[in-house]
Amino acid sequence: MLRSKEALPRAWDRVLVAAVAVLLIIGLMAVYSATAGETGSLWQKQIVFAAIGLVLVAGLQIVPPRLFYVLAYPLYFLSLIPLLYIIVFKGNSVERWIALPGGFNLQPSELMKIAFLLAMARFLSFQPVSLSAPRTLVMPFLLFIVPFILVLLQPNLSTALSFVAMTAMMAFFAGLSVRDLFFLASPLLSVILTFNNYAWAGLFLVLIAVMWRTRASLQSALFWLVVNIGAGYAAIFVWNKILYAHQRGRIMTFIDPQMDPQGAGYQVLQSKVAIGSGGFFGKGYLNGTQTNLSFLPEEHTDFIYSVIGEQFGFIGCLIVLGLFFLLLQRILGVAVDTRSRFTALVAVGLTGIFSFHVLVNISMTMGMMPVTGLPLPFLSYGGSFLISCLMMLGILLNLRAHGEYL
Amino acid sequence: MLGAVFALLWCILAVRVAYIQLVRASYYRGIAEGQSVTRDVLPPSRGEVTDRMGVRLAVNVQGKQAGGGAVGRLCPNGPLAGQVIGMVGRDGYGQSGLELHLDRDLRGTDGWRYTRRDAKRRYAPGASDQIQPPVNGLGVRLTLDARAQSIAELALERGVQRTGAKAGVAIILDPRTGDILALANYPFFDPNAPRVPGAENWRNNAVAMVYEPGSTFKIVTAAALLEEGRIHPNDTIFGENGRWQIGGQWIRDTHPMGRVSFADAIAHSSNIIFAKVSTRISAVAAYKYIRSFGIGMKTGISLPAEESGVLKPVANWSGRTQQTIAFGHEVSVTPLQLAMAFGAVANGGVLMRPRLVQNWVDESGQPVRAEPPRAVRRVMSATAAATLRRMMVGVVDHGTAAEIRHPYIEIAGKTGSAQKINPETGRYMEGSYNASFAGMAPADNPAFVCLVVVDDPKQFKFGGQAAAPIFREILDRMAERGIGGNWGAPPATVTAGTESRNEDASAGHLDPKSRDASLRSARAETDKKTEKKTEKGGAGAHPDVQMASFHMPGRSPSETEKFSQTGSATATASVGTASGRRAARGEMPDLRNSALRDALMRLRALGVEVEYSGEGRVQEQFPEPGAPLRRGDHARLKLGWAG
Repeated sequence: MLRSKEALPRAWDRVLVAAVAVLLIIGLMAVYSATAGETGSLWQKQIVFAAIGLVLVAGLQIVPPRLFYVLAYPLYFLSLIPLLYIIVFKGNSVERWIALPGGFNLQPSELMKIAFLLAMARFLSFQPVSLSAPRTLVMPFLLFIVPFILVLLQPNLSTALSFVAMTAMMAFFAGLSVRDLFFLASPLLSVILTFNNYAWAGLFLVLIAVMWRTRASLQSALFWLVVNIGAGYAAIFVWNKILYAHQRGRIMTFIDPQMDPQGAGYQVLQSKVAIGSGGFFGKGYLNGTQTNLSFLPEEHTDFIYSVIGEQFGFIGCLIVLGLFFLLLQRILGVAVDTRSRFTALVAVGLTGIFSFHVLVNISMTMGMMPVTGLPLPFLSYGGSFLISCLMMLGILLNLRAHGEYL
Repeated sequence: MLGAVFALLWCILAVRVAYIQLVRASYYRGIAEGQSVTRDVLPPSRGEVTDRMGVRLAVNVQGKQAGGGAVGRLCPNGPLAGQVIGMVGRDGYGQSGLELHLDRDLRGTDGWRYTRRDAKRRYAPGASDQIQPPVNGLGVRLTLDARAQSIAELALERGVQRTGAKAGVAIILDPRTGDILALANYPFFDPNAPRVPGAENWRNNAVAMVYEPGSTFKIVTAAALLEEGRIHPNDTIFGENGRWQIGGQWIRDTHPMGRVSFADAIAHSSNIIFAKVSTRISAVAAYKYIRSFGIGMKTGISLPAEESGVLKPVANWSGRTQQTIAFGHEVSVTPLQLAMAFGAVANGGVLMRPRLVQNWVDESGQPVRAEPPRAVRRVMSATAAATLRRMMVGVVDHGTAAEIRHPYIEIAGKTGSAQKINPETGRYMEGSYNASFAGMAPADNPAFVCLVVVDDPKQFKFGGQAAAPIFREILDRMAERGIGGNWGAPPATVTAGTESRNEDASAGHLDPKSRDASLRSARAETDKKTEKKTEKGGAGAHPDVQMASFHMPGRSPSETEKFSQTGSATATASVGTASGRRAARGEMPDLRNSALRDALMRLRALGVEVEYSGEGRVQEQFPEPGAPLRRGDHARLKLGWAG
């Protein structure tokens, strides 16, 4: 699919860059506000992370765009090594990182995200997929399932789910219909609905209705029904025998937050109190009683949106939502504009992962989703995640400027 | 299409944000305030307790001594007056004694502060605090004299140990004002030391112990008979040689006597003679006298858990009750009640309310409120009181307490010993006695009254042997220290000869130069008044106590006159029961300045319904004196404490 590179590089997308810059500034302000009074000045570290990220973004711009395409698979396999290292050598601990010199930690799952994005984009760029041709799904499924399982075993459910988000978006772009995605996602729904027999029965009715309407073959119909039944029973088995208590607790407190007022339910309540007490204009920067006074746990990472909501109010919340919407629109715009299928797939995958993080995290802070520990891109404290987000964006900017004929 | 899906999802988020931040904002704001704003209580500083000279009896201490940094209470003199002062709990509230009874004033009022704090209870920087400072407690100056208290406690301890007794009480009071100078309880109690489980030594038996007074109570009987004019010290009565039957039961005297004078009957404490003469007045009259001496009623001292004693109403008296009560049985008192009754005899016939609190002072030591001495009522005339005291001199001079006779200080007193009653069975306990001695000195114009009660002495069972020596030791120490004036000085230093000293006694004690400073300041005003009114000196030399008319029934007019001259500040017309009978029926009597009890009794006798308000003596009355009254009319009384 390599094409000639006669075209001149496109100018940077200033709107996208500005949106990310504003988000970064808001994020640094919020992290400062949330951690300024505490020991180990995390906000200073976050500035260093942002600076490293920006340097890497700049550095990525001088990389020949072909290199991303060429190195996609080797990078994918290289990235599996630290993930395996974690599984093998840190299997008994909850640590998900490898210590690097200089006091920094590398999260292999973040590196894996970048490699997976490129590898999946490369594969799907020449191989359309269809549910009616199950063979076409085998390689993408393998590409997906290996890092997914490894990350899930870390255990890091939320990051694993972000692989699902990327894969679904890219598969949709690569040719899967909504019906196909529904069939593919149906085992996941079975996993959730199996705990309520009526809901699970309802899912099967919908599945059968869709199959009948779309005249699905008896073969595929039977296949999906069997897969769903299997997923449902497997879920119950996993729930009872495999899941850790804290993981069960997180899911349970989502269903009934009052069950654990000091744990995850407490966090959600405190988050809502922080956001709600901010009101329309907010309490003013550094004047948050909930976040500045440490009533809200994890406010600098998972609940950074609550910090913003308390101090900048409804206005601040809308601005952040608007910036993310703008960012996603611009990234999606790259997919629409580019003539390169590889670039478009990278853009779509990026849309998937960013939108997933934003939707799940913000919903979580407002009690609409379980507390998954999924950070907010560009805003939450955390070096690996911030740098990987910036790097993926840098790759996209490079591809957008130079990868027109890739 | 993806753009539209994102737009929809973003709209859902925006609506949710709007719901939380706009619709539910005030709800969440309320929760947030509740979490970050805390109300801290600022405890006030507790007032100090000092004796009448300013000796500190209970103070606040910081840190270690109090146990753990907090402000605590310390009694610098340890167990001195421990039961009187009492304990303060770790929570800063009084638990016993004065600390409990006066807790509201001593403690002060809590302040508060609203503070913004973070989740780790640290003060949040930059938050504005709202503060209501605490109102510190008032300090209290007691009437106690630490020197007298110490003298009483030491003498009591020695005396109780000498007799092998269980416990003992000693009370020293100034009869002229009712001031409690010492209130000692043995075994001692140290408010600084934690309470010993099971031990009851924190109880103040001076007000909480109820016992049969025995022979000391004969003073009340004698006062009634003298006041009613039914006996004279020189009257002779046959002592039945120590065995006599009343109501089918034998009573015996420890000193069998033949025909002796009434004065000797007191000196040698003849139960038989007192039983015989007691019926010379009616049971109702006897009851009234006993009540008017404050028996069966709380004295109103500023201490918690005061008992009222037991005085059966006349309706419940058996055939021999009047005679039994005459020598102090079938009646129960607290030591303080009896001491106050003796105080009335000492000061010329006025029952005083015991005063423990002299005044209240603020933090800078400025007095903010004084509690002046208060008379309860006149219980006998000054002459009768003087006569009684002279007879009580015989007790110490040649009677049951002859062993404590003093070479130059004339002591009046009365011994007593009564078998203890088992509180469970209600029967007398064989071999278990309360031995007591109540005395005063100098006899003609007592500077102090002291009651000593020894609980269950093993070695000496009688008041004269067990309790009187304790009194004597207290007297000697007080004379040495000059407490209450120079009454105890050897005769050579005052004037020659006992007689002249006694005559000059009142003038001597009124001389401000010879009195200690605090007593002088406390009584300067009353002394001036008294000096004016008591130029004749002698028995009438009690301080002016704003006495009302003399309410004792059956008193002769001549005595009323005498009393008016010598004691009463407001010599209104005599209105006793006898005079009440004389008062024209259907006419409103002048009740002003009379006690509520008397006023009610008289108005009820007239068949008038009474409403009253306040406490104290009658200040205003309606209708006016002399107004015509009909049975069933209503009268209103307003009570208060004048001047």
